[in-house]
Amino acid sequence: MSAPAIGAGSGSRARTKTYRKPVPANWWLQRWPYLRFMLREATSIPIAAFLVLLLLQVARLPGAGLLRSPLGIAVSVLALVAGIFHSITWHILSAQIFVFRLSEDYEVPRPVLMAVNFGAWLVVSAIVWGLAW
Amino acid sequence: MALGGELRKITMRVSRYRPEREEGPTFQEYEVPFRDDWVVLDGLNWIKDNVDGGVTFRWSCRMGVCGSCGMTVNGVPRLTCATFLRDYMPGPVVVEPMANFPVIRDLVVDVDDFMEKLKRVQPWIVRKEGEKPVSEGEYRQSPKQLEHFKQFSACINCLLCYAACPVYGLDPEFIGPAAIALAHRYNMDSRDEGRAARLKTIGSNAGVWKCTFVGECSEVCPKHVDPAAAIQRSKVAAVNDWALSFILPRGGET
Repeated sequence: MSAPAIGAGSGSRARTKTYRKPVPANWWLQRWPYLRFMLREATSIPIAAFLVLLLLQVARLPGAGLLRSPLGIAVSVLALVAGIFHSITWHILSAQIFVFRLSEDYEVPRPVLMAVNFGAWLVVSAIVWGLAW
Repeated sequence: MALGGELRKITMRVSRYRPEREEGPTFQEYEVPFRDDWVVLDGLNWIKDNVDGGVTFRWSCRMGVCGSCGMTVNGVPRLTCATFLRDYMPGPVVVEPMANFPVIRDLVVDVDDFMEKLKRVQPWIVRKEGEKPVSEGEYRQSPKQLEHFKQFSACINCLLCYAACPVYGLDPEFIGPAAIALAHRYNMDSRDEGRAARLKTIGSNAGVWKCTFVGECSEVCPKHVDPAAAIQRSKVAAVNDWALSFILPRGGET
């Protein structure tokens, strides 16, 4: 749908013509929820960049310094911010997806699921932090 | 219209499309007097009654039940019977037809595409052996079993979710939020046996896997159906069925 398509309606009824408004290339800039979605998708880019850098660093071992270079630090910080943003949206969204029925009568409410998600995230992060230190 | 407080004025910018004389839509502005309790639909009806009888739009119940009056109000898909003019002061209120559908005239869109997709998901109770005769009584269901799908049965087919869905806008093959939510509603129904049949549609290339979980369908839904959740849950169910098909006899078909 690159151009305004003017043609017959999709239905069986006879019509003169219908107008289909083209979706503009910048549709995702027109409303904040769409932009938020695109930002969530785009978090993969800095994270991928960080992983590439990490692989290059591993390939250069025992030579060091790639991750500690200004570029390495910039990419790491960006990847961290992207990772945190993605994780927050993920934990909110996954609570929307999963249904946990503990019994016929009781379904775990969405805020509780979200709290469990965030709690588990903090615990795992703390463990990783402890191991890394 | 004696009730509803002080009379105020607001500009309504209404999208017009007259296919017999225009290649595409244009905007027309109207000064509309309104009271506090007037909704966008009241404003449109005032224009039609007092200024321009040619302005064309769909409406029926005026109370958020029939799902006819969905339009784009200041860029957001809304039921115009539930959208107050006072919230858009000082104006203007821009009223356009629902996005992602072909426009027939002014604010009226062609929803045949949805109707065809709706039929494809078989939104009715499917029994493998055919329905039992009336003399054998009804298929019984407990209130708790009803709770499993009740939320998804509240859909009024207003199609605001399709208007909000960028995936549908970019790829009209996508079966879309409301149809998948209704498929999920019947899949979750204890009386239904049509899940495998529906999976052929919603598990197809045009089905749930096209959804990237933008989530706006659920945000704009006036009935809180949460189609985004229905689609993601259908994805989980489809993966479960796929995995089970390897370990169960006859591929899990019963």
